[in-house]
Amino acid sequence: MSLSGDEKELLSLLQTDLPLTTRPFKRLAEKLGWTEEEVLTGLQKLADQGILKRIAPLLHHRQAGFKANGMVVWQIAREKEDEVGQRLAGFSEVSHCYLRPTTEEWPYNIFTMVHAETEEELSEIVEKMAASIDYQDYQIISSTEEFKKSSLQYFS
Amino acid sequence: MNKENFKENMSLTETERKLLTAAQQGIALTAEPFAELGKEFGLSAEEVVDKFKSLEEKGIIRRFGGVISSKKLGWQSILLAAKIPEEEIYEVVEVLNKHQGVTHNYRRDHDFNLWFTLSVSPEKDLQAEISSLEEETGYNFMQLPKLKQYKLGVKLDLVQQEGEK
Repeated sequence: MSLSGDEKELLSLLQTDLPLTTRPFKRLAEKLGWTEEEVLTGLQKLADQGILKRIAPLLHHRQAGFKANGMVVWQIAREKEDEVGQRLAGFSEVSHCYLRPTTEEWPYNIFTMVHAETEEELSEIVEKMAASIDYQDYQIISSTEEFKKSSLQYFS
Repeated sequence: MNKENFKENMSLTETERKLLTAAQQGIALTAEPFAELGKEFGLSAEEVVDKFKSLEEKGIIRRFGGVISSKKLGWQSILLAAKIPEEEIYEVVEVLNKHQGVTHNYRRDHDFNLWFTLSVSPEKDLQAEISSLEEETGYNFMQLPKLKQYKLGVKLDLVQQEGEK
């Protein structure tokens, strides 16, 4: 999808912190030398194209109270993978649910990211998830150190 | 390099939870989005703005901004995992983290102890980038691209968090 220079400028600005004021898009307009109306029209166009998914607060899970964050991987038979994937995705504690390939060293094809307040709560949720699909072949692979967490810079 | 030494027990008020949960769906693309958001909870635009500011200061909000579809822009992304000897892990991490396309990088409690994501812009070749990082670090990576997506989006329900589920 090709973007105009204006659209790139707007998108780059959206990747920085939105000014927290009652008229945030007016502030963006001032930075761009546009009118507020032009910014709103540009945003709507990017949203309609699916390029801008939303403008929202991105959280630090840990500080927001989710201190136990686990990547839980499941080994699911091919004919069951869609059904299981959809069911696991239905849990509100699951933020991401993907199908990925298996390798000789890696038999797990469904990946879920699960967030809870405590490790105990995380285990309980995962047990509930396992029970809901009647499947016990999973592993909780916890992150023990964050080396990097950033957003892509598209037009730098 | 951030160790996970975050402050404990950051407690959110009920209003903060509700606001965050609602705002995670995306604020309105209108002149006064915070006024609209506040209406649902009986708050003024100024009150909503103040709450978000304080959540940002407390580090609960990492960034308030646009969520952009890298796929729509033609970027390719992949999850990679590697087995790195403990004594070399920081060295490898340093090489990887220098790459702008490495956005998430974690140590995990598994034989595959390093897990990271790599994204490249449309004019670049993903496999070539992977090969060059493999060469630079001296390790091979297991490639786990997304085949299907059953759920995407970190819209966590903070309101239910304390309640019964």
